[in-house]
Amino acid sequence: MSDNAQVRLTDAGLRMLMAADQDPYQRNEVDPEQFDRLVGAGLLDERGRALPKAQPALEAMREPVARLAIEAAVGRTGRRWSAAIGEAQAVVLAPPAVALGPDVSAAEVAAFDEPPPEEFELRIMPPGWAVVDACAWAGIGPRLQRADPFTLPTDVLRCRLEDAGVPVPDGIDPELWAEPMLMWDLTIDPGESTEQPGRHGLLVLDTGATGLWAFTATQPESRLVPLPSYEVWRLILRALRQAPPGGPEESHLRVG
Amino acid sequence: MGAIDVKTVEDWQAASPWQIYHDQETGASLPVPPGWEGLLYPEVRIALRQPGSGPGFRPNVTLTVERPPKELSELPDYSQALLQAMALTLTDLTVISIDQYERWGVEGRRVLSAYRSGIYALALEQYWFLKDDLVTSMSGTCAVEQHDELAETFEYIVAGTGLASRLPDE
Repeated sequence: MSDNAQVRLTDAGLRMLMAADQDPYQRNEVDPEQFDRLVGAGLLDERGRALPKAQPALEAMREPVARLAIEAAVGRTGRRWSAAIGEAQAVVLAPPAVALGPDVSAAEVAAFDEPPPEEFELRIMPPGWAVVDACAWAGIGPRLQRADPFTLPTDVLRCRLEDAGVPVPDGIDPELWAEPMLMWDLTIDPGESTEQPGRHGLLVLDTGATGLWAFTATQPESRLVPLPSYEVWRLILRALRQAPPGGPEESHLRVG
Repeated sequence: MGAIDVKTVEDWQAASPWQIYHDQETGASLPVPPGWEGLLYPEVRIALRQPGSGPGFRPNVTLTVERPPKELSELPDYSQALLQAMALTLTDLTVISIDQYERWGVEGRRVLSAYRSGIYALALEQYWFLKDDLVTSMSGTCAVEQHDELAETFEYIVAGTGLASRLPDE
């Protein structure tokens, strides 16, 4: 990854960076390791002041054109990826990825219960690359995609996300049910300067080697519609284009 | 850019309001988006670029023709080799999707990826088709932020792309 900068931080380190061009911390006032990481990344000088390299990132975090976030439900816990997209740069805050690999079992994913890590990676990049980073983090990439929509009991799916041993419901493809499963919610909000904030959301069920599904949660059954990676990518881009002022107050991204 | 309901690419091209660029040496042809300009690139049979004078990346489309070596004469093998080569030459290449894509009865692939080029984050939408041991590839490149708008243009271009029937020296 050839980001403009990347550094592992805690919330304290992020606060240090945010304050650096107004009320900089001295090294002896803060966690020295976090301070040294920001200096090492070329974002702060030795007196705790923001360097020019940090300015576009600070602007993006304070007055983003749009905010993009992914809340992933993995087993019994969650992970949150977010990006503040500015005019000149985007800033991504990313914990370790939740993407399902070929060696990860359904049982491992369902039983996953590690609390969110204290540290995350702050990455500064061109605005458009934040969309690519989001796809990489969420595992939106080449895969086989089952073609037919289906419905299943919402409560059963919720149980299955935390327990791979839940029996396959009638009418559901056993191969799909046996795949590692996780769910994520992608939201796109206009930036802080927007007077009429709009919000676009997309709830997705990832069923490993059987594809991605746009998920509409209703009771007692939920409907899942095939959502190929190519379409997810375009939906994100379309929502970002619609994020500027005047967009709808709240909507789900239209699938299909 | 409405859909054109015809049975051959020749009929498609005849019905399209866009100009068609023909590469006489290979037999390949490509619809030209209104106002786009032609460019000369080495090893590229056709290159088109969206006009513009402001800052920012200008979208472009290229068409290439090659005869793959025997060990890559099947589409899956060719695709894998091409993606491996792209990963070596394009910075931070990230493949978003690989889909089967058939046009005019010829099997092909559509590959969407992204990479970094200097200050730009670029989307690369490629289509390649294998017919008579020749691969005809159409590649559309634009800034990531532009891709959703341009994807329909790229798809329209590939819908009207005539595949190559020979290499220039044949």
